[in-house]
Amino acid sequence: MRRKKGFYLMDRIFLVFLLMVILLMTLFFCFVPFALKQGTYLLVFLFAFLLATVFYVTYRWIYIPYQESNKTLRLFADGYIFKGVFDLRIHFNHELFLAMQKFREIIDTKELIEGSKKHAEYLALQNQINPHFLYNTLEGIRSEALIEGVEIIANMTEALETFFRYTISDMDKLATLEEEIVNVETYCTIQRFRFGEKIEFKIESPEDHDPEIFHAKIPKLTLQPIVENAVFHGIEPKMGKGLVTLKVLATPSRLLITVSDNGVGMAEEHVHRLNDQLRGASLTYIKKDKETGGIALLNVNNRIKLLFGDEYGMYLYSKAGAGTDVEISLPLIL
Amino acid sequence: MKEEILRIENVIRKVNGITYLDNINFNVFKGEIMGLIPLDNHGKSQLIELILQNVPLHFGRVYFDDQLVNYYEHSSMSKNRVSLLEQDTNLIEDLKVTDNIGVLNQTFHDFIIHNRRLRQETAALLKQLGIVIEIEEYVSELSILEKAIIELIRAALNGAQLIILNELSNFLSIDELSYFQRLLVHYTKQGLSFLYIANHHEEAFKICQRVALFEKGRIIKVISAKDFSTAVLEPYMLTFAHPPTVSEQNNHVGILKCQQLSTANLETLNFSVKKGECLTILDMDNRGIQDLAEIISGYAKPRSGKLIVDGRAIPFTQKRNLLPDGVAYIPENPVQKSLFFNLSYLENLTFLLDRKLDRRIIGKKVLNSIKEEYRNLVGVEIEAPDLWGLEMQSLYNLVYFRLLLYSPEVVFIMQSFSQADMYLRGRIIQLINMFKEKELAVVILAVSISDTLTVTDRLLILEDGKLAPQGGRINFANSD
Repeated sequence: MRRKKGFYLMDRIFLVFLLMVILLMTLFFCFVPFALKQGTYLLVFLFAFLLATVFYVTYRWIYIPYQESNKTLRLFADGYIFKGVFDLRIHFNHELFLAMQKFREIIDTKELIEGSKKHAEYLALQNQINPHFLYNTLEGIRSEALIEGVEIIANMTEALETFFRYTISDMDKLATLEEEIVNVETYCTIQRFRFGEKIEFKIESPEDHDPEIFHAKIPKLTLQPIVENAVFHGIEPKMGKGLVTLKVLATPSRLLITVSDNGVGMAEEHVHRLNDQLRGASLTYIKKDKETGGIALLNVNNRIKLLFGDEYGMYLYSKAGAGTDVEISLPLIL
Repeated sequence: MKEEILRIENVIRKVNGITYLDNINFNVFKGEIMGLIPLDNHGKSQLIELILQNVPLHFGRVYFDDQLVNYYEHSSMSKNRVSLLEQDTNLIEDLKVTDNIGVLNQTFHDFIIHNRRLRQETAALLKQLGIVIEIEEYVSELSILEKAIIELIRAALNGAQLIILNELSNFLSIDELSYFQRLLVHYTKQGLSFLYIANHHEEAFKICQRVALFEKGRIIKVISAKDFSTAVLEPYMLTFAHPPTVSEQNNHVGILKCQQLSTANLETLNFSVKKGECLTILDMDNRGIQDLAEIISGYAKPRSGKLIVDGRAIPFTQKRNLLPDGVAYIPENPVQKSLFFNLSYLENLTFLLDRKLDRRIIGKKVLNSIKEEYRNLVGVEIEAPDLWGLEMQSLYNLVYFRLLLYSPEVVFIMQSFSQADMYLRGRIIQLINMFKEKELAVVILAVSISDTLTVTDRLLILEDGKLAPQGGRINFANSD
């Protein structure tokens, strides 16, 4: 890591402090013997009190904030936090504070989100295929299927068309939870053509839930990639029937969605590594090979953190043979 | 809409370079009893400490009542409105119930204590809760259940919003636990939340709305009430197989016979146990087994009755330890109570040997021979100069091996699985089975049944100081 030439600000504070201590010590050795000689201890106590106050104030006002700010910067450098670095409790100085604010403005979060999105397959589709051409073609196939009386093809085409209409459109806006769930159901309908009754999809919410929570706004395409992940990595390799459950729960400030599958689960080390990656927002995963898995989760997690802050995101619970639960934490936006 | 009382988010906590909490995530809702099953004890006390107080974190955030109270950048060290209820009471034992409830709480700001008013208020409060406890009694005179109840009431009065219940079944009997749980449900209706730490899922499933599994400082699974089943837990839990049924081939006569034994809390207790057999005495109200333990460890003597070991009646002319008569006792949490951490492993192992051999000085030859014999069982640990660096499993090995070396006729074990995590419980089961294989008679004194069923051959149920009628006896040797 490159180091700036010369002294850092806190090094200078330390040096000034050291100088102050030397001055005080000199004063102490000259002044205290004089006071003792005069037979008054009051000035000695006063001196001791002032010295203690200087130490205390230096510790509380300089040393602790310095350590805290350093820790935050270290966590940023290590990839634990992203936006938190702009919200230091105490900044090093006013100019640095202004610079950080400017930096926050310059970093266009949207661009990062775009960067994150580009990685996703749906965006690749959007770039390569003219959506209207795709919809018209699918509609054409559906009409031909209905004319020929092959209902299953018509239904399959309709589901695919509905899925693409939702997926390849206006990625920037937030969707309602209800729209997201409908999209997941459409996705499951398409998958059922392939897997038959092997996949079951279920939605659960507490008995006393407020129906309004289904109108809560969440980033578009938050749920489908996670369900897709559950189907391909959890249920497809499993013998027997698979179940994907979506649990929704709201608190006054958060929306908690858990996508659970009863699939093959993951090895402990893999879960641990993924959770470490999900803890912070980072775009490094984009460079990784797709085969390493978990990219859909990291992609969705990144979008959540970049949009809403470091305190939201995803967490994974899994064990080999015990299925996987993906818990998504979002701000409640009604 | 559910309100969150506690939210722990991506918390990493390191103490002296050791990661105790590793990216831990979980929450507790208002009015909820949230279960926590620690599969191992790594990080458990650090988690409790973190919830009680906003201690420094390596990373993560802690929200209490939807307010950010602790995060990676700044930890205020302030205390949260959380109380901890565990085996060691936080009440002042030398004060009365009224003082503990009325005076020793943060809502009491009077300069003068009005005893009459305090008594009236306390009596009214207990009456409202349907609790019968003598309010003028000193806390030291109360039973364990009564102390737990008073502590719970005091925590609620203190304005605690979350109460951590640490392994209740270790000190409350089945009946007491059931009563106490009814009280918990009453308080949840008033919006109080509980973090119910239990070693057994059967216990947690009965009372909790959700249960989190905790292992290696991480939450590895959160289970909702509707998914509670043993099958869900199977991939996470060790299964302790029942050993071969010893009693079926066991033709020994009773090595220990307890005849008409009576104490303050025991009424004409009669039982016998054979060589290589494991008998569990389950005390429903947690009093009788305490008396029995005191007699065996030499702190009390019975009012009447006999203990006959290998045909010899033990004389109870005075209080004395029964070890020379062939009756050994392993206390609850034996590591703290019976090992000497500054002595070497070998010195601890051979601690009882002078009594066994009736010699003051044990020759080097004997010691070396023991060392080589036990090296096969414990490995290089036999060379340990002290016990400070040893794992909990090794320390439990030492407690049990020491008795194995002494080879008494009967071993009484008080609450054998108390405070043990899943892996340690597995080891204790192996050690008890080893006792049985060596033809030692084992008597487990328990207040909760839990894992004792995996080692026991017979179960006796003690109710009101008396053995329950035949219906209360279950012969596990003959049952599958």
